[in-house]
Amino acid sequence: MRKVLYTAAVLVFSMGFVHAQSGRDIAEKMDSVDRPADMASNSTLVLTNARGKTQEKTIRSLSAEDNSRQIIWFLAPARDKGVAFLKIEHSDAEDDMLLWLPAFKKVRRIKSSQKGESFMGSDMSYEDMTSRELSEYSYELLGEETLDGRLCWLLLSIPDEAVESSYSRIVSWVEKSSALPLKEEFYDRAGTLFKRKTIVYKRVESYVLPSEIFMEDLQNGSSTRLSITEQEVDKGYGEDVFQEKNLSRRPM
Amino acid sequence: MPPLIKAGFFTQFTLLLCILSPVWLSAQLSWDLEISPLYRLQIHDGSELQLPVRTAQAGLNWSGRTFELHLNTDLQTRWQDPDMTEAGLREFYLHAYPFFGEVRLGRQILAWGYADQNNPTDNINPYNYYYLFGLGIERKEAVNALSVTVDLNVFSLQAEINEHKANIFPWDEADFPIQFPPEADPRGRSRDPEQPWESGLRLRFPAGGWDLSLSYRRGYDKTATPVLLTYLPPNLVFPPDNILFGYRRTQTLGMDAVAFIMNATLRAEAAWFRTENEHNTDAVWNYLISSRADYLQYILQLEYDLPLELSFSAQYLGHSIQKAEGVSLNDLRTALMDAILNGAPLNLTESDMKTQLQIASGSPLHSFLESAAVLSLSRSFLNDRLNLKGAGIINLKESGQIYSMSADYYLNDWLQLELFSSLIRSASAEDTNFFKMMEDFSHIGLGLSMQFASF
Repeated sequence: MRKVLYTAAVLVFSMGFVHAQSGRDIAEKMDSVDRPADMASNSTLVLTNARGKTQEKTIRSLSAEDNSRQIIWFLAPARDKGVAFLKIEHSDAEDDMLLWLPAFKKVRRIKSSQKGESFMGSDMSYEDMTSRELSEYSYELLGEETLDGRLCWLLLSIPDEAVESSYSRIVSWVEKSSALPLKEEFYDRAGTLFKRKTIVYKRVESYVLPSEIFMEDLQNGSSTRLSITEQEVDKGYGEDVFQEKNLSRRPM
Repeated sequence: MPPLIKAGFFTQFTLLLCILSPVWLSAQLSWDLEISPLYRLQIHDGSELQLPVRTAQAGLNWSGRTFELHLNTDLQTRWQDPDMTEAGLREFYLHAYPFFGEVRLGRQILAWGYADQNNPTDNINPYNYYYLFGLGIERKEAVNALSVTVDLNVFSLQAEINEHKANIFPWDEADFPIQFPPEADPRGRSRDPEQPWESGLRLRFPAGGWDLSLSYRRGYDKTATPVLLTYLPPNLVFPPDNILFGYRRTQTLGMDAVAFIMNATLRAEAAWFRTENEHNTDAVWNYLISSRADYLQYILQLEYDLPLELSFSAQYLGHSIQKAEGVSLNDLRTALMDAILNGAPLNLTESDMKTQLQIASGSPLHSFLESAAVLSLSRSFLNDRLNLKGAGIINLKESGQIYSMSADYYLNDWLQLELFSSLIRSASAEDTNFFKMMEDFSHIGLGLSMQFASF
C-alpha cells in the first residue's frame, strides 16, 4: 500500500513538474495565438491630458506579418492630415521607421531608439506600437490573478540589455483561456510604474483582435484611448503596400 | 496625318473624358484649406512689416486606384494694401503609382536632401525670398517637371526633368532685410537660359547602416548674375543698364546621408557645383563677363534627445570656393577704358575671381555665409498642443547672429495660435555684413492658423 501511495505521489508530482508552466511557456503561448496575415483598420485616438482636455485623431492603418509591417495614415484633424508612418521590423537589423511630412515633402527616418518617444502626441510610444520579439525578453511567471472575472497569469517580461527599450520591465495579465493580454503595466528605466494598458477584444471572422486599447500615463496623468472602428483581415496586402512611396498617397 | 475624328479640340477632349469615365468616376475627391493671417511688427520702430503673407492655401486631391491628381492654390495678401492680393496656382500635377515606382508630371515642388532646411543638393525648385524664413516647401516655388522613380529592391533611382525658373527676389521692398544695389537688379535686362530645361538623377540606397543618396544635376543658376557688358565706344561711362544678366550653366554633384550613431541622428549633405558663363556674345558690342568656378556647399547636422524631453539639433554649414577664374566686370571695364584711352588692343586676361564670385545656386544661407552654426531646441507640452522652440544662426566667420523663438498652441483641433520673434544682431561696422543689413528686420509677430480638411 505504501508502495502504491508512494508511486502515486511520485507520478502526481512528476505530472505537476512536467506541466508547471514557466514564464517562457506563457510568452510562447501568447506568441502563437492565431493572428491574421494582414489587417486593415480605421481607428480613433482620443488623447486626454492631465486636466481632462481631449483631442481626437483618426487614422487608417494597414499591417501584416504580425504587425512587423505597418503603415499608418493620419486622416484627422486637419493639422495632422497627410502625415504618414511606415514601420518595417527586422530581426537582424535596426527597424525601418519612416515618417512622411507633407509640409516638407520629405520622408524622415526615425531612429528606432526613439521608440520611447510619443507617437503623434499620444501616450503610446513608437515602442508600444511594435511587437515584442520573444527572444529579446526574459520571462518569469509571477502567479495568477483574477481580472474582471477572468483568470489570468501574471507574466513579468524584462527586456534584454541589447534591446533599446524605454521600459525596465513589463507585467502582463494574460487570460488563461485565450493567452491574450488583458492588462499590462510598464515600468520606466528607474523601475517606477510608468504606464498601464488595458485591452478589449472582439471577434473578427475567425480571429480575436483588439477593439479598444486604453493607455494611461500614470506619471503625468494623461491617457490615450485607441478605438478600432472598422477592421478587415486577410485581404492579401503584400510587400508592395509597405513601401515608402505609399506614405505620400491617399490611404489605401 | 489627319485626326481620327474630325472634331474640334473641345469635342475631342469631351470624348476622351467619356472614354476615361470609368477611371475618373471611381476616383475620390478630398480637399484641405488653411487660413493663416499673420501680423508682424518691426522691433526697431514698432512699425508693421510691410511684406506679403501667404494668408490662405487650399488643396484639392483626386485619388484613383493607381493615381492622384493634386491641385494646390494660395492667396498672398498685404494688410496695408488689399489691392495687392494675389491668388496663385502653387501646384497642379499628376502622381501615378505604377508597379515599378512613381511618376509625377506637372507643376510641382520636388524636395531633395536629408538635412533640414538648408539643402545644397535641393536645386530643382527656386526659392521665393519673401518666405526665406519659412519652413519646408513654404519657401519654394513650383516648376513644370516630370519625375520618374524606379524602385529596384533596396535601390531607388529618380530621374527628373524640369523647366528652369529663377528665384523670386523682393525688389523695391523697403522692409525686406536685404537690399540689393541698382547694379545688381536684373529686371528688364536679363536673358533666359539658352535651353529652358534642366535635368537630374538621384540614386538612394542603404549602405552599412547609412541611408545614402548620390545625385547629379545639369541646369542653370537660379539667381541671375552679370554675364555680358554692353559697350559702345567712344563712351567712357558704364551705366548699370549696360550690364546684362543671365543664368550660368551649372552642374551639381550631390551626396547626402543619414545614420544613427548611438543615441544621435547624423545627417550630412554636400554639393559640388561647377558653374560657367556660357552666354553668347551675339553682338559686337557685347563683351562676355567670363567666369568659371567650382565651389562646394556642405552641411553636417546632429540631432539628439536631451533629458526633460528636449529635442536638440545642431548644424554646421559652410561653403568653399575651390576655383574661380575669368574676367570680372571691373577688369572688363578697366580693359575697355584702357583700349579707348590709350589705343591699346583689348587685353582680357583671366584672373582669380574667388573674392568676386557670386554664388547663385544651392541653399540661400550657404550663399550668404561662409560658415555658420544653426542650433535649435524644442519641446512639446500638453500632448503636443503646445510647442516651444528656440533657434539661433551664428556666423562663424564674421560678427552676426539671428535668434528666434516661437510658441504655438492648438486651441482646438483646427485653430492654432502662434507667437514668434526674431532678433538679428551684428557688431560689424561694415554695411555689407549680411547680419548688419538685416538688423532692422528684427520683429515680433502673431499668427493664427485655421485648418480644415475632408477625409
